[in-house]
Amino acid sequence: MSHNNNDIKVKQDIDNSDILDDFNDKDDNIVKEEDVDVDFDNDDDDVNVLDDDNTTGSNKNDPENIDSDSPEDDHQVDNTNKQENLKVEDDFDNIVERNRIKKEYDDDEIDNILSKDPVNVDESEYIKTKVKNDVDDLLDKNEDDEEEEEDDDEDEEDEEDEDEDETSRRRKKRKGGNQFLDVEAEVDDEDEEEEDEEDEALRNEFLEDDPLLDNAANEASRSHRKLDRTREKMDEQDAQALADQFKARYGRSSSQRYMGSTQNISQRLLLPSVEDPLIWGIRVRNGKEKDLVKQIYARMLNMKGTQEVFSVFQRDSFSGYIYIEARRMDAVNHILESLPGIYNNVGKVLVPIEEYPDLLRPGSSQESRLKPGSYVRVRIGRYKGDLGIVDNLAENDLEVRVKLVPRLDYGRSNNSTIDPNTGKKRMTNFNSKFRPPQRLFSDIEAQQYDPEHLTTAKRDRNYYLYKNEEYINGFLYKDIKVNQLETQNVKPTLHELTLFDSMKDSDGIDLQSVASALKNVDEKAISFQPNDRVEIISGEQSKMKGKILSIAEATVARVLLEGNENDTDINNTIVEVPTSSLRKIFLPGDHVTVIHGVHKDESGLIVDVKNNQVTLVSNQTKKDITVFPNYLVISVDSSTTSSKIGRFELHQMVNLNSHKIGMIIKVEKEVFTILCTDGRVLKLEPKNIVSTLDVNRMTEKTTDRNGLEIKVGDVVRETNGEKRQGNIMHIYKSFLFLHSKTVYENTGVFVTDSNSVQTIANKGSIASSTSSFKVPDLNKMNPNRLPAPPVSALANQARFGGRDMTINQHVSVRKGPYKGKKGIIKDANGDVARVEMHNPAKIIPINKSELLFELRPGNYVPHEQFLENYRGKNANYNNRRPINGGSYRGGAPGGSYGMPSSNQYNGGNSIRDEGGKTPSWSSGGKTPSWGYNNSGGKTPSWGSNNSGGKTPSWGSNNSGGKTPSWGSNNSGGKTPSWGSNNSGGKTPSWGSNNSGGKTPSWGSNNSGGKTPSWGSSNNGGKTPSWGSNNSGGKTPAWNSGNRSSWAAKPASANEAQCVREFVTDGQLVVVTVQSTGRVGDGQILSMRITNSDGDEYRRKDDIAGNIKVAFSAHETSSFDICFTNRLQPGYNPKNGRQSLFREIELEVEAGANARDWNAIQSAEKLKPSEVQLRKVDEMLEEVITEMEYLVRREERLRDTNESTNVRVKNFFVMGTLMLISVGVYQVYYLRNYFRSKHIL
Amino acid sequence: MSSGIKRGRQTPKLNRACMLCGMVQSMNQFRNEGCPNCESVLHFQDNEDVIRECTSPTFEGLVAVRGSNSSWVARWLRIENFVPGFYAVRISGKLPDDIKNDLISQGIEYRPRDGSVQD
Repeated sequence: MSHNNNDIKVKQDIDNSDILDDFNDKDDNIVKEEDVDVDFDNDDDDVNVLDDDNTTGSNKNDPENIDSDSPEDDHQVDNTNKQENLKVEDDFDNIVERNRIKKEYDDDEIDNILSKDPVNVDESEYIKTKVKNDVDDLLDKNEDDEEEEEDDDEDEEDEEDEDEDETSRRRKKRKGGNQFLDVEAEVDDEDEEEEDEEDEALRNEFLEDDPLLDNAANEASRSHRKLDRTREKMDEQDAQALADQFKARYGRSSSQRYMGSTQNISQRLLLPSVEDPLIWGIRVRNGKEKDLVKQIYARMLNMKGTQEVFSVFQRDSFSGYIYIEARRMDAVNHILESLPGIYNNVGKVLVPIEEYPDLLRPGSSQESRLKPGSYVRVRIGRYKGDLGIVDNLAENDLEVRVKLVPRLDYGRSNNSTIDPNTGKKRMTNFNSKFRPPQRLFSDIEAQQYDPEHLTTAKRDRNYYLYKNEEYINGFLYKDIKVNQLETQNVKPTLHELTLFDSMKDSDGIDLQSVASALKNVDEKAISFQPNDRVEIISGEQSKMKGKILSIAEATVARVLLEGNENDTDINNTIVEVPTSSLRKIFLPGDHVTVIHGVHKDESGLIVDVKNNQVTLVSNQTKKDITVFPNYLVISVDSSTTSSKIGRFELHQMVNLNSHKIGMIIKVEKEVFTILCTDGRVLKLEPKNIVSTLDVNRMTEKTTDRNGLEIKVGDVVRETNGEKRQGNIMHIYKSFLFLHSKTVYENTGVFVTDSNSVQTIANKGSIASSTSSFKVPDLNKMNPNRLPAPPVSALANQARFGGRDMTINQHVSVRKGPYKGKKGIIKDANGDVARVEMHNPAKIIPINKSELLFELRPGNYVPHEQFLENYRGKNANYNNRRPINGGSYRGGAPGGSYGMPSSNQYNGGNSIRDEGGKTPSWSSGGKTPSWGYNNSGGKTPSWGSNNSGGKTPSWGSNNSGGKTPSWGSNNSGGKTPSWGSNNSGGKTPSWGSNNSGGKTPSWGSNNSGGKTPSWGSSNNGGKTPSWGSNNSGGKTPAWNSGNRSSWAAKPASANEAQCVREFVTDGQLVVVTVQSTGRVGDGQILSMRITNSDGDEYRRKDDIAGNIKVAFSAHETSSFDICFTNRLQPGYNPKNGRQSLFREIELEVEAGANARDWNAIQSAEKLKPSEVQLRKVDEMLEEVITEMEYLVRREERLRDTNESTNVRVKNFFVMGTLMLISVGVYQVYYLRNYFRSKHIL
Repeated sequence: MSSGIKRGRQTPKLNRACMLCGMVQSMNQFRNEGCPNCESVLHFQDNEDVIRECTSPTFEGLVAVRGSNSSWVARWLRIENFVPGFYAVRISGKLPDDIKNDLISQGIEYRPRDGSVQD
């Protein structure tokens, strides 16, 4: 309240000083007073006309409040008692004085005071009554006001912020104010009216009596009013504050102010940063995206635990996906839980931060923009499918005025025009029948057939209104909603353009719009080729001409510009232009082929090039056709035949009727020339041909007059007649269709009988011997008689199971034009593999020796090595064919552990190792047999181990692993979980020297070095140093810099050594590993970071040297950092056995320690001490979190404890009761017994 | 699972988007309740003409926001000050000029949401 008062005081300072003057020199300044009065009135008007009436009464209350608040007032009152001149600091005090006076002094004294003023008794009477009223009011109102005060204080701060927009808001707030203060207002009104009446009456008296009195009355009422106004202002502000409060509480009120405050911030400043929430893309059922967005929104509002989900959205351009903005993955999972329509198995894609803006782009604006002149197609209605030209756009872009070629029948098709009620019905009938062809509007016809609907508006401009639709120059101008128009990829046909063009001679076809329409045309149809001459039709280089040098991805062309005489400097400039903005240039005389459109495949000579149209004389139809230049290619082939029309092809056998067969020897537009078996030549239209005749190479065989087999492709000669000689094109029964270059009629094709020819040369004959007459090699038809292919070839192919093992292999090409490309072998035959390329996607036959085969991702070997490898693997599998002398002794269990891997192999066959370890093979287990490729060794092969579940305990370990068990992190076997993290490492590896692997002890493998693998390699040395290093366990927050080092022996069994770190949710963890050795020194050191559930966070294979891994925990859990040291397969340990270990120094930092404080310091420009403070602060927070966690645990434990306690107590009580009751019963029983036996 | 139960209460069709704030609502909602964000400046309530002029039936990209300050999506779309609800990413159509001028005089910058403004 006090704050508020101050504000008002400042505002009212000038007025106050005026008032002081007024009070001091009242008699002198009557005129001035009136001025002031007028001013006040104006003020009132500004605020609210009703102010005076409404709030005067309530305002009167205020002085009392202020009075009680401020100690100064007493002093002020004293002053007035002494009847000095009225030293008033503001008008509140002024009124307060008067009230005080009225209250504390009797009427005489008031008279005295008032007599100081040049006011007579009547005036003082008036004041007395008024003050009395005021006092009464005050007493009534006091309580209300005090309540309000509290609220007001809270809201004052808000008010300051919102002062900016007062004009628009004031109206609103006033409404709100009245709403909330209406109780007061009502009360006030009554008082006010009374007062007003009195006031009025008095004023009238005064007016009659004395102008001075009037002044005095004015003066009094003015001071009241002034107070009123102030009070009113405060009220208003209170009301505003109240309204704000309510708005905050019930945010969705319809009277909320518009808050688009960030409108003027450039979007660049809004680009996402790492601080922002993450966005996940969720694969959902197509078409369900919007529904899901709605459902998820409902969950956001109603479901608990979804506060972390900020938004969810969908874009039409990314169909099949919805996107969820959230901080954390589990929030997303939570909100999506059991929502139908979501593909859970596909997984969620974390959208890279730099792609966020692309997700929410308003869309490709250029393309969708409609401009006057662009082409559209109508979607529905009578003009469905018709081309229209945009004439004008409505202001809000939602309606388009489209120029259409009308389809009118001038009322001829419907006779029901008499009945206007059936208008709608008529329309449907009309639609269902047929629609009139597109024709320009004819006023003559309209007048003739349907004059009553025709309104001629402006004849001179050829403007008509017909059936309430506008027709200008014969075209219909119609307002159509945008969503009823097709705006994208509208491709006007020339016919349509001509329709639009037909009427106009002045503007013709708008070249620009044609070009832009062309741009949107199915661009694949337009093919540009190097050396095409083109003109650029849009962009900066518009109107430039040049030659295409190359095309990239069919969309971007490199164009060598040709200069003209004006600017030669652009000569030989090379620019890259999208093909969509290119137009081909042709010259009259060019021979071209149409590649797209209705005239496709026609070719001809260009006779005219005008605007954007090329006219050519078709070779086929001998007629003029006009096409767009981009649909043309220069054709070098000047033949009059195009090869294919419809289902028929040149040189195809066709059925003419049930018994008549012919071959197409010439294809013209709409006409085929067919050579029949009887030698006649027919010209037929396609519709007269019954069907094609299915022939294949197997059936097209016959014998010549000598009984020798002849088939398609053979060369035969007639034995009589003209002795024509030709290639066999087709064989039908005994008819041969031959082609000869020496025959001119029928394009060199003739028919003859097989009995009249003899073979000259067999095509592709098996034994191409010297004799021209060969015995047909019947052997080849009998597979049993096939000669055995050379053994050497077969050996190299190494087929297994009749299948080329190169099939389905990933390969990379190492030679030839496809060098470097990758693909998959789809088919293989001998040395040639048919490779399906990833890019471009096609199948290409490539010699296998030119391929590199992928053994495991990133590891490519040549074909020979691949074969060896493959065989080696196979040898492992079946042990049948020892190759390279590498006999496998995997079956010997229980070798000397001290020499890791030394007895794994007898001879260190690198090939076998390779094979064994290639993920593609072992992880596969795709063919079960491969998984068991070590079956000779009886130990569960590592392939099968990976598939899991074989060892009984490991399933249960996983379940046990869920307890966080942070306290016991390295004490080994107590937490069942930690073993489970090393899914790979634990199992007795394929080396089989871990016969111990069969013992179930591995779950507790760190309890006492019983682990067969590394434990024994340390010779019972039990978990060496590292176990004890971390035995302290330590909560990460306290000493989050766990440093430990130990030696990792390359255990042949993939035994992992783990360090556990407890990490709270959201903490950043930085793991720094420093390892001795180097990559390739015979040991493969792998690191794997898993949480207690076994989920892998990070994995690094074959590490050495300094490695830094950072991740942030998504759950509160203990994390295991596990190291596995394996012997590199094929490494001969005898060479350097002494060095077969790695020393690892591990540093794990979590939470505050892990953060890069240097970066923070530089980013936020902090002083070192501030950084230190921040660091300490964060660490403290972590400690607090930790402590809270401890407290929670403690609570839980205590709960358990107490409940146990209670149960024990109950048990005890019950037992006691039982004992007592049994005792009592026994006593009674015995007594009765003895009584009955008369012993007692 | 609950679809059968919920059938009685039809979710309102979301078929119009406010051109000023992007709020997506049904015609009825605009008519009955106005636009929760722009009602103070556009006065949709019971004013079908204004609704027709200032909302668009063609929009794309449905975004549901919680109304949290930390949402980047909301900030990017400049709807972070608005009430929770559904918003559209791209709304075709522009406010009529008189309303635009009205907004300018009220100190509100109107940024068309039809993708024509890029910065």
